[in-house]
Amino acid sequence: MSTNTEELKKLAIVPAYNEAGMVGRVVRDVLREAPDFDVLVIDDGSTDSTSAEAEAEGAVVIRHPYNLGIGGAVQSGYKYALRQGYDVAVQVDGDGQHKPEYLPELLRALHTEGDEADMVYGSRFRGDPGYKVPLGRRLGNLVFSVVLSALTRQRITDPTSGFRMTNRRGIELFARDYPHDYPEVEALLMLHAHHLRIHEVQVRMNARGFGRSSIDYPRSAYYMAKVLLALFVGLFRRRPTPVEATGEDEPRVEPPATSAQALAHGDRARG
Amino acid sequence: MRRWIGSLALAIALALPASALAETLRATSHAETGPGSLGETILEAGPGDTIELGRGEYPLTEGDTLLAQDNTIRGAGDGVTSVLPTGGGEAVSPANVEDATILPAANGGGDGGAIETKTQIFAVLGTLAIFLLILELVRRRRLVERYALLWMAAGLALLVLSIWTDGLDVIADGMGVEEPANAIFILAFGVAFLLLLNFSVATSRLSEETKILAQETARLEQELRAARGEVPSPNGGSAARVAEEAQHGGPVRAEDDA
Repeated sequence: MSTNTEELKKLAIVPAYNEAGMVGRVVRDVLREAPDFDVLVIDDGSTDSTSAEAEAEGAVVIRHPYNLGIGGAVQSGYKYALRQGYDVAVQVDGDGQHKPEYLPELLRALHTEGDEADMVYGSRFRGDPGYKVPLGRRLGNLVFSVVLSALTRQRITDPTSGFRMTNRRGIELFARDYPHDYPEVEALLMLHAHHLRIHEVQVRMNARGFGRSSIDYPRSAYYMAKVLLALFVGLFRRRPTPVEATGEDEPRVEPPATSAQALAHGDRARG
Repeated sequence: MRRWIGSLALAIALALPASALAETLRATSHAETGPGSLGETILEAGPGDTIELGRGEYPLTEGDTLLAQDNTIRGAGDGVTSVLPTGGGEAVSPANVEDATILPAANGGGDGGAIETKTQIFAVLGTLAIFLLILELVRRRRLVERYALLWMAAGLALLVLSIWTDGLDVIADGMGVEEPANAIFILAFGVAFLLLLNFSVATSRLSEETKILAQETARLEQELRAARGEVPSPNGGSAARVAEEAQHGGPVRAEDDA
């Protein structure tokens, strides 16, 4: 494949839930640091002006009718990327945690390593994270890191990082199947199960802007238990055939014709 | 070792002439339970002992111990003393009773049926009410047939077991549960558990389906707005926008474009 990344269609997926005051800046930063990326903001049922702000900065906005959670939001982005024929998609959190200046570096890693990586993600823990990560979060991360590194037989230092860029194969996989809540760790295992190659790039992140942190204290126990269960069950789950084997280039989402048929059928059934 | 032989010998000595050593106790109370009652006296008695009764009626709930210890109940005469089984009949066998009348079981049915019959009626009525409720819910389209069938099957199982008590006994025996009522509780709990689990599965599926629906409507809404030209098109030249931005030295507002 070519390393000429300029020809590729690239999309930045920005999941945002009530991030007014922040999301606009994220969109602007992405467009400034990586001008060849289109920006898609998934407004996951916000009650504030998140979508208006994102649109004002030139992002395409998909507005969920209600809050689906981070997993549903990100998957919405991958579905869009698949449908619109993007070659590369990157997740950038709407709360300003991920620094868009790393996008070119991630892109290079995705394609210059002899196409070795199907997914490249920014790890805070390869070096100095650049900000003080709360202890609980660090510990949780360590547990996941150990478990996941053992499962995938490669060193995964920051499995909870949502700053990830993937190619067409990853887009197809995630558009089809993406974990519900706290999806990052499980998504890595999915990639591994489908023989998609994962690569780490050291990044620094901002401490979360403000507002929501997807994990606060009482939920962290649930988080740990849920993810560990998902990992464990994932070991025994038969994944569908690897993406490249399906030869499926078109999205799995119903093409218009089928929907029309379904409608007609529904009418008939009703009438 | 010696001690052991000694105690064995003692045990044999005690066991062999058991009837010869049998004591005679006397029940002093006509109450169903409590000190001096027939039941209590039997519990105090050893194997082969005889329990003497005065005149009048002596209730007896459990005859199990009486049988197991092979005790004898001796009254003051047939018709003068009577034993009234109150816990359901068969335990007081005529072989263990001398000079006393065994009255018909207090609760009438001989088979100890009265309470059970009541329970049965209650169970049947209850189950019927549940059935009617389910049918009504289906009629009003508030309940899908699939779940209706599920609940009706559960109700039917309860109904069958409450009428056909022998079957319940068999099941209880098979489960190693002494009290058939407990067996039915365990079964009912198991069924309720499975039903609830089934609903968790259904809820999970529903949440997956609504997620897809929400994603699809959101996508359609976006496409619709794009088609109407209300928002930047999906593949809008963001690169161009940024170039423009660089020229203007600031972000280009969407309003400016419009």
